[in-house]
Amino acid sequence: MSTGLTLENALLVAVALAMALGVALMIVGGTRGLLVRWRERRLTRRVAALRGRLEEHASGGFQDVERLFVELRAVDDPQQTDAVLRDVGDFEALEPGARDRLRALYDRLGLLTLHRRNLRAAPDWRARADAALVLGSLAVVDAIPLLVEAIRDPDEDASTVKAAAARALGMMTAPGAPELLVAELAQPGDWSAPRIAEVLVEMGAQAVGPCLDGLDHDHANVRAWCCRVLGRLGAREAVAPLRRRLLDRSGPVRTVAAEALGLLGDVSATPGLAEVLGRDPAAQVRAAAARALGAIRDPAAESALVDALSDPDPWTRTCAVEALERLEPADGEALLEVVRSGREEASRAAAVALERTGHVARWVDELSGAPAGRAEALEGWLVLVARRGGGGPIEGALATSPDLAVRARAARLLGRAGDPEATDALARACGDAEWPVRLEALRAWVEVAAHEDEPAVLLDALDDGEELVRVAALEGLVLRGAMAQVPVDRLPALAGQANLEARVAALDGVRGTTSERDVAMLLRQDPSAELRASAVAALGRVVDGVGDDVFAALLEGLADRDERVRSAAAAALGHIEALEATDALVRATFSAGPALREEITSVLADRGLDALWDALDAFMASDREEARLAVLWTLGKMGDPRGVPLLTAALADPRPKVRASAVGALGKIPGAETAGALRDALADPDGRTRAAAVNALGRLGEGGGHDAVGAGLRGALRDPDPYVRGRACVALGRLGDVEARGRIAEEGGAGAIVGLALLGEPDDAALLGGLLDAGLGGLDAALEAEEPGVAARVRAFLGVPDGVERVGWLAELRVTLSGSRDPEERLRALELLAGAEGGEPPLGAVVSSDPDPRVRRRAIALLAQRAGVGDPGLLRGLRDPDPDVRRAALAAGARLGSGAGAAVLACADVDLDATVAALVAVYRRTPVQLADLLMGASLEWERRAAIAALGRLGARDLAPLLHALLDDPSAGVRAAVVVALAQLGDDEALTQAATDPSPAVRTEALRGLVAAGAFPVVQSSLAVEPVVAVRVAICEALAAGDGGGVLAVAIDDAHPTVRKAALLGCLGAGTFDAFVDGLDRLDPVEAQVVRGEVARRGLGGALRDGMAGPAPVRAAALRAMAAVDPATFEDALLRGVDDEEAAVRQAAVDGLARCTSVAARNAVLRAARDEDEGVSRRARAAVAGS
Amino acid sequence: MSRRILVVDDTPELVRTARRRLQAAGYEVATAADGLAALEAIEQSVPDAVVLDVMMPHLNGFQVCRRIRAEPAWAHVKIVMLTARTSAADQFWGEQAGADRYLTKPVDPVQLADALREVLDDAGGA
Repeated sequence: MSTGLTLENALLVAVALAMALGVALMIVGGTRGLLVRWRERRLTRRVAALRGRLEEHASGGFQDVERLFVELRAVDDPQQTDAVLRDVGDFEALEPGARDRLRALYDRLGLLTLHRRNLRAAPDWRARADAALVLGSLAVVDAIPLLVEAIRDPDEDASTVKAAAARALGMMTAPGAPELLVAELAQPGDWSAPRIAEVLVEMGAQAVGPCLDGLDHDHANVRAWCCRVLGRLGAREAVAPLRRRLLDRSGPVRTVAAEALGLLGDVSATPGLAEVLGRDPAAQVRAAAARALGAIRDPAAESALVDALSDPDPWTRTCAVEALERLEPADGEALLEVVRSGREEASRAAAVALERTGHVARWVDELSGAPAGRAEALEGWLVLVARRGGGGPIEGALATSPDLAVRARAARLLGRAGDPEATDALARACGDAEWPVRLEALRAWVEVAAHEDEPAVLLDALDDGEELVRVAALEGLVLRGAMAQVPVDRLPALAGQANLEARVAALDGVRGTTSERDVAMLLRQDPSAELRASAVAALGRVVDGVGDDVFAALLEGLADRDERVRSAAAAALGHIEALEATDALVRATFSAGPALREEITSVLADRGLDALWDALDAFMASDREEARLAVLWTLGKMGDPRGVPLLTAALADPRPKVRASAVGALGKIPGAETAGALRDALADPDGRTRAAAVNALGRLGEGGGHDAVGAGLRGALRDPDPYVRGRACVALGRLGDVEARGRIAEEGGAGAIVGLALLGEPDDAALLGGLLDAGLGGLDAALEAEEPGVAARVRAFLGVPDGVERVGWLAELRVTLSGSRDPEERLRALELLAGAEGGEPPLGAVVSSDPDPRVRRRAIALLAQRAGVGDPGLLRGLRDPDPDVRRAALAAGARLGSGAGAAVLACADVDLDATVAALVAVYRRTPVQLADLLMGASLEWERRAAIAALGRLGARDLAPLLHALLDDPSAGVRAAVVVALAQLGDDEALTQAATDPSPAVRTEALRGLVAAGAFPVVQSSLAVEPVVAVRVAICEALAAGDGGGVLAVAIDDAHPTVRKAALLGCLGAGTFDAFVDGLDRLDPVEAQVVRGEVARRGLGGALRDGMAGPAPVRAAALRAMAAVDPATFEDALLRGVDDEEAAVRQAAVDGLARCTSVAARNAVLRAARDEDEGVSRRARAAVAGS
Repeated sequence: MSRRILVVDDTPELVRTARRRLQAAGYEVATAADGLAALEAIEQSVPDAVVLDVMMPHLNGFQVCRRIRAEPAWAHVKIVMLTARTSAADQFWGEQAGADRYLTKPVDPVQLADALREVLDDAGGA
């Protein structure tokens, strides 16, 4: 019981205690809460009381820091203190003194320590970011490493804390901060380095000095970022150091140095950047240099940028294009030259550059109203550029130009360019309001559209109101093989059009279709013989179902007045086996010329003897000689032995021509029966028949029947006709009939020569000589010699192709020359005729009428060798549409004759130099006539050519005329006048022209004055010359002469390009000391560029040449060698040590002292014992120095 | 020696008038009634100048003009286009085809003779 009570009591006590403890805790908790709230209220009250005073402190720039410290210490809550301080003062806006005092206050209050700790250790990102901003705004320099550490911390939050740290660094305007930041750039880090660089940029001028120092930092990162910062800061004082960085060993540094120089925009950087653009091994550096040159916009960079269009790196080329675009070169000639170069990538880049620089658009605009020659040139350029992708403005003009001429030309140009991307634009232009535009667009569309493109524009244009457009549409459909898309019921109407070209196109278009027969029948009686021939040929293709109407049409064709139609009809009838067709064909031979006869007999022969027996029998019985000949020719073509009886019978024909033809035909059919008949023919009363029999027997003998023919041929050696005997000599020679040698030798003549050659004597040289002496007969015989050892050599010697065997090959060549459709064949025929004795090709006719410019050009060249003065063929050549033909005609020079002047002048647009040369040749005795021509010329290039020719002719009497032309509005003409006046030695006029408003004219005038040695005038002109290119050109001219004095002055020119030209000119002019002095005065980078140019242009030769001069020149040359590169010229310096003159030896020692080779060192040691005190002293000093 | 003129037009009245006027002016005159006949006539004998109508059967004046200009042997032949078509487009195309002068119908025979004299004078005197 007691235990139970005890436990119960204990439990009660425990509960009571627990309750008491809870109550106590509640009281304590409540009391603490009350205490906290009380303290907060007290703090708030204090802060509120302080705020007013703090605002007074802030507005007063925190002057009384001590008092403030006491008041704030009483707050006794760092966070509240910090909060209230930041609440009343905008730290970032504080002037430096107030900021420094506030920073000291923060330090004494322990707040800086708090923020330093928070920056890296506070768990809350807001506290870390806040700390960074406080440290930054108070410029706590020793916090920079912490801030940088925060930036680099890969785990730190980038958008808040890192950003705040970066911003804080930007506020660090305290001394020493930029240096610390620059040093931090050495650490790699994708995130931090750009931010630090931004901070440095924000610091402005304060960062310039440390960044300049950073350019020489060991670490490439620092150098690179400093380049970038300096560029962004626009620090002009950084130009020279940045130029040096263009030669940095690190590619990225060179890249950003170039970029920075671009941002700075200083022209003094141009030479260095141009050098880098042309030579740097790293593509990204070259690209950066190109961009920088574009940003600087110095015209002197144009040539380097144009060269860069050929860079192997596509991005560099693109940058060069963009740079040129910014440069806006006034003259697109250099770019055009690159487009013409044919180097694919460069050419494309240059074309794009021309488009972007506005040249293409200007050329398109200029097309309207340009004179014919200029328009032709412009069109050529535009096509060239458009083919390389620069044709945007042409398309633009097609769509928007108000001038129909421009739109039409634009369409034509797009077609010539063949750019498929222009298809849509051209299709739209097919709906242009003006028909010439529609016509050109339609033709161009056919050129450029892809084959799979639907020809809707062409089909629509068949209904165009303008005839020429309809014709073009039809031709386009034919060209594209799209006639099938034309409704069949429209074809007759198309073929029946009034316009011939439409009818031609319609016939072409239906080829191979079911409509071909109908259209051909319609057109077989066309007024155009060409179209009639085409229609008849088309009827010949209608193999199936030839009806009477077609047959009748073909027979009509065979009787057509035009041989082309008859030939087509013969070919067509060859497909028809009916007797009537054979009959018609044979009859057609009666009046046929050789070509048609050949064609008809071939057609007949192809049909075979079985099909022809009846017809041949009938015609052999005819009274008409022509009918019998036709049979014989056909039988000869067939070569069928069954025809021999018919041929043998013909040997008795009363007409010699028939008998000769029968013999010729028999010779093509081997056999004993044939040989007998031919032997009989050797007794024919007609010489031509006997000669034919000899030839035929020879051929039979070569086929293996020597025994059957030998006796007959030997008998022919006694023939009364020498021609027959000659043929017999050749035939026997071919057969190797040595028994006949003596008789052949007695015969003599061309045939005998060949015969003996075939028998093994005489040698080839004698053979060929004999052949040439013998003339055409000898040639004919030789060509018929089928024995390889003779015929091949003769053919090779004469240039006669294989296969030409029969007599009259020259005539055959003439036929080929005038009639072959293959230009290669015509060209070969022309060459053979020109080279063969008696060939006499009709050169004038070829120049006039051959459609191929190569053939005409060759004919002109031959005329130029053999024609008389003023030959009409040469004059026609001058007017040829092909520029190369005109050039060839110009080459005829003196043979052109004075009457050719105007025509010669008109060639000036093709080849100015050749035109001038021709004019000089034509007018060498009558320059006054040339002056007349000049005054009558309207085109600029014509006048320029005439003026240049007058200058070359030295026509001093005409100087007043040239003086008057110095007022010509065209600068090109004035420049040409100046060149001519220089050739006449008219210094006074040149001096006047040296003040011309055109740089080109001034350049020529000053060149002339340089050549005349008028150096005082040149020097004074150079001093006031505003155009860099002119000054450079003059320096280059001075280099070729004795203008060293002027060059020595030009070395101090304000523009680096001129300075470089002047310095290099000094080498050419032999003023080596001026070169050395000038090089010393140059900026190191610029000097390095000059040294590189010396090597690149091979000017070292001029220095070596100087060693042949007197002692002062030799010494100066050695000094210049040492200044350029002593190692390169070490051989000359070594020789200089042994020179007889002490001054030269001294210069050599100075140079060798800078060489590192053993030979150089030994030479200097030897010179230390030189007899001349000056030399030995320099050598000893060099030894001591090394 | 008088200059040879080829007048090409499919309107007989115009051809007759032109022939009379030009013969009176001292020219030797040949005629053709269409473009094809004109080319055949030129092949037979090359004239010094051609007066060329534009709208003709077989080959129109532009086509004939272009064919003449494409033939080097005929490069010296002067061409006066004569047409009722007066638009800038027609004139432009005439120049493109290679005509030396473009006259619009109706044309005064005196004006035609003057135009011929001018183009032939340009070529070196009548």
